[in-house]
Amino acid sequence: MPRPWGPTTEYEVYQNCLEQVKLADELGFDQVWAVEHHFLEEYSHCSAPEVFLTACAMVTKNIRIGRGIVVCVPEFNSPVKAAEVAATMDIVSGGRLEFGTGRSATWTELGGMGADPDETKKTWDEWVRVIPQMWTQERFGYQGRAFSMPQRAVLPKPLQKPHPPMWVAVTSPGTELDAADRGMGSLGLTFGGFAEQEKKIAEYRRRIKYCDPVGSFVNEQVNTVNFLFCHEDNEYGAKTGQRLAGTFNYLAEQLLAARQAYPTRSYPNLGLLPALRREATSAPEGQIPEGLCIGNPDRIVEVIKKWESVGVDRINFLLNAIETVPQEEVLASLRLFAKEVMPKFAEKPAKTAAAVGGA
Amino acid sequence: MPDRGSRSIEGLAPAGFDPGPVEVEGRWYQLTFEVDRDAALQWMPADVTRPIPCYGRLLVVDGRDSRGPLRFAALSVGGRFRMMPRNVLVETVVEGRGGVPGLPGPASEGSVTVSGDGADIVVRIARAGRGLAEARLPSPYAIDPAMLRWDGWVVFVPEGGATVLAESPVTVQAEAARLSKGAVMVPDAGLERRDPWRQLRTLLPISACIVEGRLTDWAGGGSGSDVAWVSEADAGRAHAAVLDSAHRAGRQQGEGSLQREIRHFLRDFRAAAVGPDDGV
Repeated sequence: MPRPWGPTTEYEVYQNCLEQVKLADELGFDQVWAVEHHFLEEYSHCSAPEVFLTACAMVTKNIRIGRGIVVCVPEFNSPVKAAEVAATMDIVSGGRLEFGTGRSATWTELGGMGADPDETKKTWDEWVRVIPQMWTQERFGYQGRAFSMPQRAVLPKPLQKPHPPMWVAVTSPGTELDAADRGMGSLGLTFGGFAEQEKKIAEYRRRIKYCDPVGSFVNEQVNTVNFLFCHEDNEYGAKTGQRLAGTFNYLAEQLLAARQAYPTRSYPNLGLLPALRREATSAPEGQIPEGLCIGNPDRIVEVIKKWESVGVDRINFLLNAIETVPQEEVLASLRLFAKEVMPKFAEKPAKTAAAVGGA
Repeated sequence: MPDRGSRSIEGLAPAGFDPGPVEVEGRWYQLTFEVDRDAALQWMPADVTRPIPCYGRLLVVDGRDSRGPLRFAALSVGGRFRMMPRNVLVETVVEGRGGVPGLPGPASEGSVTVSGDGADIVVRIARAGRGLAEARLPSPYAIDPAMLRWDGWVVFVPEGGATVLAESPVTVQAEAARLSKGAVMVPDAGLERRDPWRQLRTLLPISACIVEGRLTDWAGGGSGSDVAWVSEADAGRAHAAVLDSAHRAGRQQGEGSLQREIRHFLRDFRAAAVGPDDGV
């Protein structure tokens, strides 16, 4: 959300996002995800993604609706309310919800909400176990560590049976293994290169075979994140895409990672910072860093095939950052991608599904 | 675009400058706490951006270096310098030593005392006999020192008769560490409104630690590393001009300025020294 903020800046950006999602649905993109962030000036003004995603569901027909993610920390959300809202979104979207979970990684948000960083992993673990029970049991009661409730009927129930697919956002090292051990999808939020991701994905696949699923089924999928800017002119596409990535990284750098200010084993790394440094320095000046989906269609096809070969099932694309790319060019990029790139992967839609991500 | 500081750096370098390293053996205390945004920007140079939220850091060193006992308190604001989180020096208060600063930059002679109060630790800082601030660290408990991380400092050094910014990497060999939750820095009640020790008081505690071991501070950038020298003319004014024009001239021009800003950022970032504390 670019400064200076005028009276309609947020309205315009939200409208742009809705237009992108509507077009993405028409073009055959498979999923749209919206984050839950609080207090992150310019970086993200998306604190009520359930509202935005419901609007997305109302203007689309087929695209999957990704709640990415529900912050599973009591100072942010109640698990009962999270289950209720998700079930309602699943109903009104006609059974298109993907349910992402996480715990926030910034002091900006944790401190702002008065949450204890030492506790977030524990509360997340508790919530991902109780929420699917709320969806599937007629009545649910629970005595837990961070959350308890007497027996009640948590209503409504999701349209998808037994319940929507469950995911966990992976920022900290090892969280992909937490996802595997619980039978959840891995919703990658860092920009590691091919070799690093391949190693992580292999371990995820190995571990999930022996998982104790928190839900009623195992969601073995790896969803990674990337930037997208597709243009006929490779040089222009790469240059614009790098500007987009650079802007996003610059804004992310201003955030105060939990680990940076608060010593805790709960957050073993600096959030996005190490990944950003690798991303920004992985290529000499003037060259495109490894793995970014920017440039002309041929180049992007190559990159996605490489991601596919290391085991990625889906890719979430960041389309813009503080409106660095004009809306008309974002829409043109989506159209060109759909026309020239998507057909190359049409035979295996579930494994190579492209997506748009709202931020 | 992120906010930048407004502090002019002219004249902030100490008259005598020793590029170090300063090696202190002993005990040190570090408090991190949220501070007022406007106050933080006032004490931050123009080529440093503010984090969200703004935070202050108080480092209190009680030890010994090659010259003898050394005790000082350094007040800083958290900033982003060449993409990395850094402590931007505001002022040090040094006990004895004839006013030679513990870190290169504005310094005053004063007193720094550390005492116990039940289970709490209390640090009192005074400048020229006048109370500045009191920091209280409630009920510290032992932790693994590996849990701690250390940001480098942005300090002020002389060069060619002017003041320039330099990065000052910090290396820590910790033998023991304790953590305290809820630590605050409270200014003396009679302090002037414009005094940084009052302006940068705790609004919300974040964390505090007490460490015993060896602290090495390379005021000149460290052996074998790229020293990040930035003159006010080269960086601060350019950044400020870019941002001012972006804000004043509206969105169209702002987008152009933004592109330049990002390009400068990536260029600086590629050239920046990366200390061992960064890759946690």
